[in-house]
Formats: sequence, structure tokens, C-alpha cells
Amino acid sequence: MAAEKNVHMTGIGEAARSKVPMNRRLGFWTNSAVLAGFVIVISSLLVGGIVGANFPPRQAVWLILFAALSNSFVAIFICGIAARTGYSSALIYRFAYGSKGSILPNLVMALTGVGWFAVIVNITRDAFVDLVGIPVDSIGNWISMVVISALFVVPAYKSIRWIGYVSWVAVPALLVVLVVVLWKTVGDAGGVSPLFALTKGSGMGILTGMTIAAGGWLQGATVSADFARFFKNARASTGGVLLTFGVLVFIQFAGGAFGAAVTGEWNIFLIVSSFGLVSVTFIALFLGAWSTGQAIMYGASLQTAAPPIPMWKDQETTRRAAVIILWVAAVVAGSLGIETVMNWWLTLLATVIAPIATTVILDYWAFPSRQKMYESGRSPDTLVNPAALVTWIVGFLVGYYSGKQNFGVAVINGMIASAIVYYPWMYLTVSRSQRAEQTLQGRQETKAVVLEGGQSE
Amino acid sequence: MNGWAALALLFEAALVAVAVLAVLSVERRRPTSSVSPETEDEVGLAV
Repeated sequence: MAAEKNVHMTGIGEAARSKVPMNRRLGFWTNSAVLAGFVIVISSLLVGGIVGANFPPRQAVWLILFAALSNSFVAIFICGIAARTGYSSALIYRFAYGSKGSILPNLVMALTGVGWFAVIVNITRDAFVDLVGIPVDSIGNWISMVVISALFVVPAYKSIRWIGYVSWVAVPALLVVLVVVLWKTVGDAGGVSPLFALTKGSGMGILTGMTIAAGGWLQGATVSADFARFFKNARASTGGVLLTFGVLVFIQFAGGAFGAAVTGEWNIFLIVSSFGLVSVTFIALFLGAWSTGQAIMYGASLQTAAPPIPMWKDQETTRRAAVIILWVAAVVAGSLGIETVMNWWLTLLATVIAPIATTVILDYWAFPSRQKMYESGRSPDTLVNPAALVTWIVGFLVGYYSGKQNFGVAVINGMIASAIVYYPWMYLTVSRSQRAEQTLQGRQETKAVVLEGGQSE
Repeated sequence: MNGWAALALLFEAALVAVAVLAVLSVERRRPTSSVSPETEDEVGLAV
């Protein structure tokens, strides 16, 4: 806990608009614990639950392995950028999308985060009103949602140190729930072999299941920079990601999936209720939901407080104002009942976010000269990068429509299509020492840029 | 598991291996400590 305090950054607040310097970085295990607090969360059990409710365990295992690999791939690269530069996800996006164009990925990530937050708050509220006997159609139901969401937002408003406090309690508590669910699941099924012999499923296609499983945590992998920027180097962040996004997420998905396979429920609150355990485990699940919600809102506040959004007073005041606005947006989404469109929401998430992840990863890791731009601390070299925007549109359309046609795995299709558009375009741009918009106009612009001395913007 | 699903799983496993190797390779050539600011005074403000 003492080491957690080092994360809090006096003077520059939560570094919403600047790098995290080396003297504020954390040791491997401490930062891995922070990352574990982010990934050992209720949403993993929910995604696992959806997979388990739609597929028999023998298929679900492969699906969740695919999801863990897929998210590890994205998180290794994204966290590597964060550790090397000290930038949050929002500040990283500026280089690929341009100093004004970054508003697109930042809004997409913040809005998807708010959606996730509203879903988590609503299912927590449902369990709470059920437990204390508040009628579903009463005003008390709505007030419960507002109060729970406000409580979940407090640590995100304060600092990552407060997020650490909740996580340190929530993570062990949720691990206990996970063990209990797995224990009861295997027990109710009559052993491991009978569990894997279960064959019931909803008839959902396995490729759709892959998209849901991978897409459910893609948002988390893509904003993991917000927590990995405290690692001392990219080697440490890679180890931390393999432990958390690889091993821990896989185990959690399995807990949710097997629990759902036996009970037929995807919601973890309803799964433990089916086992007759809801009153015992409610506190642990509440803490788990809290640890997820606070981290999501913390990340979303960094995305909406970063440039080009103007700074109000100072970095931290801007970020805290963003937290309050996002909370109001989440209350609206929760009031509209966003959790009723959960499957559609997860599929959409994957196709919307996959091109953003691909663009950012390629922009930094495929072009050494652009790596140096990120690391130098200079401003991005363009206001709006058309290559990144076109890539996002193409990647989204390919992912969305290939998913509808059941052709391949939508999230992978979207990533491949994004790479096919972005890499050649930026390869030409970099090899001609141009900006991406100039590459559209041809080779003659190169001379002008060189004469300007590579002036930015 | 059908063919597409098996292919996707293999593809993802290969991508993770590539990611680990790529990050370690860059880190070996230019360590983070050489490209990141040391103190708060050096971080600057993104605009």
C-alpha cells in the first residue's frame, strides 16, 4: 500500500496532459498489482458468462483462450508505448491521429468506457434492489443506480491512489468469489469431465463468439496505457501484461463461462444467486464492480481531459471536471437500460475499437522515426492524420459487415483491413519525409516540407 | 472447432509471440530510461 502512494503525483495531478517521469514510476510487482486491479474485475466474469451461456464448456475454453491471446497482443504493444513514453492512452493517440484528430479515438474510447460503466452499475443495482427488496418499477430503483454510480466514481475523481485502495480490497475478494464459482460449478456438474461433457448452447456461431469474447476486453486492452505508464520500461510492462491480460483474464473468463454453462445465466450476480450464495458474495461482487467502474471512469477522464480539449485552470481540474460530466452521461445511459443490448454492444465495441488499436500499434512500432517523435516530447506532426481516419472507417466497416455476414472473425478482419490501409500509406509518408495528408497530393510536396525544416503543423 | 476458428487461434498465438519479440528488441536497442524524462520538471505539457 505504501508503494501505491508513489503513484499519486503532486503538482501535475494524474498527468492527464503530460508524461509520467521516471522518478514517479513503480516497481514491477507494484505496477502489476495495479494492472491486476484493472483486469481482475467483474466485466471479465460477465464476458465469460456470455460465452458460457452461449457455448458448451469444451468450445468456450477455446474461445476464451482466443480472447486472452487477442487482448494480450494489443496490450503488450499499447503498454509498451505507455511505459516507454510515460503517456496515457489519450496522449498516445495524438501522434497517430493528429493533435486535433485525436478527438475521434478519445471520444470513442471514452463513450465505450461510459457504456461499460453504465452496464456494470445497472447489474450491480439490479442485485442490490433484489437483495434489499426495492420494487423494480419504483423511484428507489433509479435512485439506487444514481447513488451506486456516484460511489463508484469517487476514486476516479480523487486519484489513482484511491483506485489502488479499492483494488487492494476488491481483488482478493473477487478471487475468492471466482474460486467459489469454479468449485460450485464443478461440484454441480458432478466433476470436471461431466462439466466438459455438457453440450448445451444457444446456437450462436463460434466466430461471433470469438468476436464477443475478444471484443469484450478490447476496450480495456486499448486503454491499458493509462495504468501501464507507471512501469519502468517496456520489458516490465510486457511481463505485467502476460501475467494479467494473459493468465488472469483467461482464468476469470473461465470462471464466468463455466458458471454460466451450469446455471444458464450470464450475469455473475445471477450465477452466484443460482448457487444460493448471493447474500454471502454480494459485498465481494460489489467491490469487484466498483474496482472495474472506477478504473473505467479514470481512463475515460484522461481521454476527455487531454488535448485538443482546452485546459481549464490546470491539468487536474480539467480531468476532474471531465469525471463529473462522464458520470452524468453514464447516469443517462443507465437510465436508458444499456445492459439490455449487451451482445450487440460487445460486438459493436470490437469493430469500433479494433482499427484504433491497430493504427496506434503500427504508428509507433512499425516506424522507428515516428517512435522518436513520440519519445521526444514534441507535438504531433499533423493536426488531423487522414490516414488514421480513413483506416478507422475502413476497419470499422470491414469488421462490422464481415461480422454480419459471418465471414471469419470480425475483430481480426477489422484489424487486418486497418493494417492494409494504414501501413502502406504511412510507409510512403515516412519514406518521403512528408505528413500523411501530403502523401495524398503526391511526391512534389516533399521538397516544401524539407525547405520548411520539417516544421510541425 | 471449425477451420476458421483454429486458424484464428493460431494467428493470435503467433501475434503474441511477435509482440513480445518486437518490444524486447526495441527495448534492448534503446532502453526506456534513455528516452523518458527523469523528473517532473522535464515532462513538459502536451498542447
